[in-house]
Amino acid sequence: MTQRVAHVVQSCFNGRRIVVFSGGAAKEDVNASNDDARAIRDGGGNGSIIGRNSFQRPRKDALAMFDQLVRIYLGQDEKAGKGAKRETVAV
Amino acid sequence: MPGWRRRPPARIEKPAAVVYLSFAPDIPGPPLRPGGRHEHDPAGRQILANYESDNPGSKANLARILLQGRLGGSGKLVILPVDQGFEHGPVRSFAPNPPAYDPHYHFQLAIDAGLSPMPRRLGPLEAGAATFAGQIPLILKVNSANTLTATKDQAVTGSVRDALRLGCAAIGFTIYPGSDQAYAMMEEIRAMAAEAKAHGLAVVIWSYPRGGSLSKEGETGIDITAYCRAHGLPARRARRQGEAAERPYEQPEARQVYEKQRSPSIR
Repeated sequence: MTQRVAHVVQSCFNGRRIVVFSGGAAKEDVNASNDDARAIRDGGGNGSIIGRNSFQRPRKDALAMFDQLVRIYLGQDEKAGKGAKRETVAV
Repeated sequence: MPGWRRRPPARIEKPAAVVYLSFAPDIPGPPLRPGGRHEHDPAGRQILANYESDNPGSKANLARILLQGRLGGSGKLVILPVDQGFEHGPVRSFAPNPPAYDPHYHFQLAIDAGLSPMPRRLGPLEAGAATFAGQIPLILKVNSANTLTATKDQAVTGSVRDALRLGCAAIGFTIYPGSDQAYAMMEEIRAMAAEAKAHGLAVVIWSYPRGGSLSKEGETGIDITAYCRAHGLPARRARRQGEAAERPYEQPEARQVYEKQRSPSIR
């Protein structure tokens, strides 16, 4: 998944354009969205766009979900260890 | 009063009073976000520099987008788009969480979560434009589809003038590169992007592989995904949205190239 993201970014002027990835169909599992976000981050993508998966949850759950996503993109999540690129710069 | 109602203005993200734009990212300069947590802010400076032909107005609006929320200045974005009430219908969209029937709910959710700019259709944007003015940059989604029609096309439902009137940072537009209407959609956004950029707005493209001879599985094929993303490029787009590719190769011609290059890593 990380490499697929990297290939999509490469295909978009080799990183010279911002590429944000949509979450796709509604997902019950928050972890799936988080794993997607880690792959997008590590593959050099610029972020996630998430509609139904957030606003169809109760507000408290949606806020917790967004908090986790933001932490992932800031490299502050627990899985951001070795190899996780922080502040990936499009070149 | 529900807990998500409007908060005092104290919650507004600290505005970027001064935005430095750099056209030479390799030259040391001030950070994009004064006092930001990113010392030299390479991400933001590099991103702006990549949009080489855009005028200062479009770059400033792109900077507004990149500086918003908790990810401001990081070069990353987490976006809450809400056009599902139109696209999938109110019940399918909002019944699971009834407060979401209120257009203000989504504004407040995006603001409280510290998210990046918010894309919405004209109606919902107008419904909260005054209440939330200045609290989060807006992207006017200027075309929309519903699920009542079979054709893979979208109607133009907003204008550049609407975006300017509502103080938006950008317009957003969906194209379906696989659709029989794809070329017409591209011509629509070419004209609208030119107008938007002439007025200093940024442009966001949603590019979905849909319609035509594409299989359902092929919609997430890596060749199709990468190809459709690249469609956002010729017409001077600011940002594009890609669905995460889940399946290899829809087109035999592309498969041959991928396999010849031995790129199992992207399979």
